[in-house]
Amino acid sequence: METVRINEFIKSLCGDKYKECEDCLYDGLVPDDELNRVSAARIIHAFIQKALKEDDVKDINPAAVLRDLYDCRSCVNHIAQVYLKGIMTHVSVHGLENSKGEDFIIFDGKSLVDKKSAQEMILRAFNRDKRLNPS
Amino acid sequence: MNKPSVILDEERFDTFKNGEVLPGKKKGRLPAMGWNSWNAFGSGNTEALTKAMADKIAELGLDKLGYKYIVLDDGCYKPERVNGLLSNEETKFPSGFKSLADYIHGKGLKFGMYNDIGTNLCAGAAVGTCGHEKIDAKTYFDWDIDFIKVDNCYYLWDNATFSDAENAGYTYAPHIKGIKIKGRDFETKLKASEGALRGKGIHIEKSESGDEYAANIGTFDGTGPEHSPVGDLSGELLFNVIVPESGEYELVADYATGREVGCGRWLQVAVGLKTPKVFYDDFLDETPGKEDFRDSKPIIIKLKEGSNTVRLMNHRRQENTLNSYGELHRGFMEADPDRDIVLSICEWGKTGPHNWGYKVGDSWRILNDITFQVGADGNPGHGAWTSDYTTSVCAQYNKAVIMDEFAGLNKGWNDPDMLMIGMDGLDMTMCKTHMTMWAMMNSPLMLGLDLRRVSKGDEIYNIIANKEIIALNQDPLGIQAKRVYTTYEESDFWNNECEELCRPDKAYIRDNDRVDVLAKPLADGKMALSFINLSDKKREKPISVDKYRIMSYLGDKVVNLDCIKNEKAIEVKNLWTGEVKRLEGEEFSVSGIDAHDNITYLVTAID
Repeated sequence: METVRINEFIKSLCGDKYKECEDCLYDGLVPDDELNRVSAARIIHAFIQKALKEDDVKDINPAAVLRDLYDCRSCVNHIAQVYLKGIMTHVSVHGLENSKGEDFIIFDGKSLVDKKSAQEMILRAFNRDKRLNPS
Repeated sequence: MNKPSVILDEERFDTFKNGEVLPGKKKGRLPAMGWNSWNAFGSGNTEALTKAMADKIAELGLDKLGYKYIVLDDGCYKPERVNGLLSNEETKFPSGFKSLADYIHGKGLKFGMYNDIGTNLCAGAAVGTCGHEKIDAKTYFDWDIDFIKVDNCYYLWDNATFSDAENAGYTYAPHIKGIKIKGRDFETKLKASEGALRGKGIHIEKSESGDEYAANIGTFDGTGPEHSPVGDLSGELLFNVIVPESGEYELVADYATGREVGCGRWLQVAVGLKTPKVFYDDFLDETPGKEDFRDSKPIIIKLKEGSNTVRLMNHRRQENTLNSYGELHRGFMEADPDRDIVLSICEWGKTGPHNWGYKVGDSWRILNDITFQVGADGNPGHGAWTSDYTTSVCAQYNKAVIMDEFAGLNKGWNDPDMLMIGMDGLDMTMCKTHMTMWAMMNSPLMLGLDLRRVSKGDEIYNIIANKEIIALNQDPLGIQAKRVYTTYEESDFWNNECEELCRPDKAYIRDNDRVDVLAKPLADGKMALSFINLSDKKREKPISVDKYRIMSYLGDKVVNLDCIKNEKAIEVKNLWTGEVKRLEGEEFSVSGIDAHDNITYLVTAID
């Protein structure tokens, strides 16, 4: 898998047009670290708030379908926002179902993001019509 | 897998109820009051914003009401250590923390910071105190801090936030099928099903091959709202072993390991209940699967002639966390034993901190966060009145309200997280009741809003600056209010299904369609009484609590029984409206409480 570094991802997201907000997206992240899904959610959420001036989804309860939503207490809102806005998707855990017989779904924040997925996230961050319906 | 530290004698599970604190830990503090940056600005807080909050606290006179601590939460450090030391994130905090501390102290306020017992902070910076406790404690004193909030992300010895899920291997004992005990002229073999299961969680399971074994030997996770804080948090497998003579014996456990919740690798073996001695506290060799049983290496234990209680357990989830906070405490003591620093434990109620937090800290969070939708500069963030998870006023209150016996001046305070007054999602009635709840429960009162939005005399100011409500929280007697009645007692559940802990001060009630009555004895012999409507509906029907019920629940905590006895006349003052009335009869009664509202009385005996 071709992984992405945090600084590469932030540069791709900001490009020339949003260079002024580049620094504020790091917010405690180590630039040379590989990008995982939680970090991607944090960066994208900050970017759409600060650079694209998008309001947050007020009710994040629907994101609780992600069984690991609360595992990461400082990034619950980041995950919920990018998920409910259709910028990042869930991961199904094969072989597990919930009580309604539906797939057991998680955000899987620790998994690394590959280059192709990173590009898709960036595309969806900028283009609302490309965003996906959650679940 | 790495191993956690050896547990000190004073940090053992069996000492949790002895009332003794770690050397140097100061007692007698009232709940902390102040402002914390997290709910207001998340990790986007800055030096300029912090100074503006300090200025505003002074301008509004909130410091005179007790709001003293200005606390920087997550998001203020560089992402990694510099030459092994913590340092300030220079864009957000260009002047450094000592300079900011000086500014805050210059206003007559106190300065607080944030860190974590894990390797990283929750927002990601790799600057957790784990392994750096001594140098960090010195650094914090060099920066002149008065308060520290310490989180639990990236913790190495538990499956905490961002930690490896396989760390459950540390916090649960292996599955145990049985034990063999062998001595000179003595040998016995006992199946798990012949042992006694003590505490919560532990149970007997049957493997595919039909073997019975004890599972889930450990401490349950209290981060979420599912479990009651009252009662046992962990379980043990006990065997009564009768031996012919005192001496050393070999114990061999028939076990199988895992690295998941309910089945781990770490076993503790102790003998005795009243004066226990721990003989083993370590990993067992890993087995291929969690039902692939094998014999352990012999563990040497000492038994006395006659009957002995042999305990197989794993209390490391609680002990390790206490030990980690203890390391930081010892760091502070070494750096300067005379300095006064408030330690706010923030491990989210995961490891039962209400049982051990008093040994090392001044307050302990009881659940995961009260909101995950924190604000930013220009955005007040979002709070909720109710929720399925921990993210609401009622979810935090429902747990804290039955935890009064864990709190006190010689212990510390249950912390249902920072106040959400001023956030979107809560109207002013909810905010007023939120303030009452936290004051009555002796919870730390940490404001979490952008104070630039507050003016003297406005609605928010009148809530956060209600002197008489604050006085309940800061009353020198230091007794958390007890729930003496709940209208849930009228429910079918209470009457038909509630078998144990069916008392208003012990029952964990998550149905918010109810009114609670809280009673709080005060140092001057008075008493505070709150009628709290959690429901979305106005309560039309009168609610009455007789004095004998209050007396029976508060018992000897009351300084002056005249307040609730019949011999004297009683005056009640509504602390939100100022209305004063004389009370007749044997009951305290109210009617017509609006949805989410509260009526809080100061009760005084008059001649």
